[in-house]
Amino acid sequence: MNGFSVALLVFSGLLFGAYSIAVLEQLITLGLRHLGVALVSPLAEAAALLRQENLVPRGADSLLFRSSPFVALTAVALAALVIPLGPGLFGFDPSIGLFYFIVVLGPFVIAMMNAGWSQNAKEGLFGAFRAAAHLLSYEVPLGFAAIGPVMAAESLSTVRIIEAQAGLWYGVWQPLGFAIYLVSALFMTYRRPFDIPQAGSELEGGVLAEYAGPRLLLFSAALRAIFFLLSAMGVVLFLGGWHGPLLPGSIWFLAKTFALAAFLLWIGRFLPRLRHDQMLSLAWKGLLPASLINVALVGILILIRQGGGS
Amino acid sequence: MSGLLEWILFLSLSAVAVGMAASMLLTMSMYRAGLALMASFLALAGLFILLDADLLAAIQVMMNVGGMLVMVLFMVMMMMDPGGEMMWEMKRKMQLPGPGALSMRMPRGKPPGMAPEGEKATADHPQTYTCPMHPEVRQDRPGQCPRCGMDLIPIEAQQPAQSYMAEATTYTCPMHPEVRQQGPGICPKCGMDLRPLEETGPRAPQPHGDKGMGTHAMDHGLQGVAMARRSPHWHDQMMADMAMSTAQLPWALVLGAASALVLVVLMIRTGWPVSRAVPAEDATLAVGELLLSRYMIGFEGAAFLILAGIVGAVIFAKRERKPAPRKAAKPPAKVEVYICPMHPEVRRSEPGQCPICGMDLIPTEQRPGSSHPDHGGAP
Repeated sequence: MNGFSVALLVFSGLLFGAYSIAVLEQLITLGLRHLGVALVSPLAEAAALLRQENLVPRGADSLLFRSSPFVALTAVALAALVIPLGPGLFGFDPSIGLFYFIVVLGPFVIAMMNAGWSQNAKEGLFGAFRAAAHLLSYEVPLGFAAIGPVMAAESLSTVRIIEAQAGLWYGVWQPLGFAIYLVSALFMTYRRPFDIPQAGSELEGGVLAEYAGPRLLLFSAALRAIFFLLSAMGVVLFLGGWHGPLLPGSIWFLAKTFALAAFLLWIGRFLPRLRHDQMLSLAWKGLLPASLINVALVGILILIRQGGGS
Repeated sequence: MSGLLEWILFLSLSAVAVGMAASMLLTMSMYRAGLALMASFLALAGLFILLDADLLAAIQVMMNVGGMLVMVLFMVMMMMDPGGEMMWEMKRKMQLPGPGALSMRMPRGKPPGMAPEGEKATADHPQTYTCPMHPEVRQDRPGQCPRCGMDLIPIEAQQPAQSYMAEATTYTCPMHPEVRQQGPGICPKCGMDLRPLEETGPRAPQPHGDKGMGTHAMDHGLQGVAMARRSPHWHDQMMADMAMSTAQLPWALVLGAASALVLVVLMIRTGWPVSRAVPAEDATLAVGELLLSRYMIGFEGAAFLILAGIVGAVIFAKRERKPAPRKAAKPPAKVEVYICPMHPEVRRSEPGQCPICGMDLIPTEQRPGSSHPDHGGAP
């Protein structure tokens, strides 16, 4: 298969993931009885957004405003390349796969900040500040939480990390790292309770306040896709990837990903939204020391298992 | 990858890197300058990928995206004019002609219709000197204040912004909005410096300003022009302040060109190609294994050290003891002074009888019709 068709496949997979996350959101809100509505309403919303006018507010920084949704979607699509949906089912497998994933998702925050900044409005600007504060919060704990599986698998390649979990999932013996990863993932995807950059009731959408029409559709697709990706990466790092009995690997992978995403969406409903100062103190006083403890614990466990190290 | 494609990629990435570095210098908006620097680093990362240095490229992107973002954030929050609107406004007001309005160079002369130098102004109305501490001291030549001995300063140089605004502005306390007075001073309730009324309201920094948005930056620009008419000295200071990013531009350009020249000379003098060494296929794997197995103990030690530092700093840190002002203020208020209703000069700290008329002493608070409630007076 040549590169172009691989890229096309990965991108369509990503869009499918974004759609599925939208369906999951509806299901969590409406309940399982309204499965039909949940399946149709994201498509209906997309169609409605496509028919809307593509507004650019007066005085907006046009280049940044127009480019932000594309930057966001590009970052997400590039990161999706290293997610292995099944044995042999991945875009490409660089030796620094996990590192690449975290690095390539970095410009997503830039897209959010640009979107907020370029609107020339207060809501967007505050959203931009909060998005940057988010980056300061989650980046370090996320990296430290992901170090645990890397240490255990002795590789940064996502495929090798999954292959190393054939016996025991890392989530089982690294529960602290898994928990930190999940909180950081909620941070990174601007989901409740960490959704203040686009807090609907407070900032009227924050960084997305002035977006309408197809650009808003692109942005929401990117936001759902990044949530899908972070859930998938959680499965890769801690839930054994495609490993599972009877069913084919990719089915297991998708099932685990959607279960994890549903869990995150569901638990977000019960948590109050955190203020930015609470968020920062949670990240720096809680998550960061905990992630360092996790790294130390994982190291000790690996040393014990190897009998004094190699 | 074919040779031609590699060349095209190399040239376009280099062009992006250099062009974005130049636009970082040339843009007036600090936010855009940060973005341009970021784009330049991204192009550099692309060059690294062309050299098969994936890890370096990834590190480049991660470090610089995070770093630049923090830088942009701080610039936006700290700077008066992150969007560069003020400088544009200055140029418009100074009517810089033709394509000069697009250049980064700030005009050196005075805006049209202004006095050329300060000397003419001093000839028209002689310079008055005053003491920074005692504004009532005024004389027409430099010297020392007869009260405190400080050097007198010219009146126009003494905080023109405040003296300008003091003429027509109502000042208020940031904490006690009910305190209002004409001219600056200190709040009688909390002792804070009073601020002009329009500056104390909740104000959000505006991104990059626009007509009709009433931006803070633009207001400052107009104010600067208005003040410039009043004081040439203030005008020069304002210009220097705003040209902060541009005054160093020629130096930056010379330095950049010189280092580029050195690099080019070095490249020409070195044999080309430098080496044909191709990195091994599993080089990154070997580095990773080395880092993650042999040096893991080192990592653990570092992690423990950082952890100990954080624990020490955060968890065991003593909270700053606040100077409890209420406790300090309350005891004198609670001291009850007993005085005679007939003879107010009789004051005791305990109940008793007046030595003059023998009446029972009463607490000051309970004294009916008190003409001068001397709370807290020493007995």
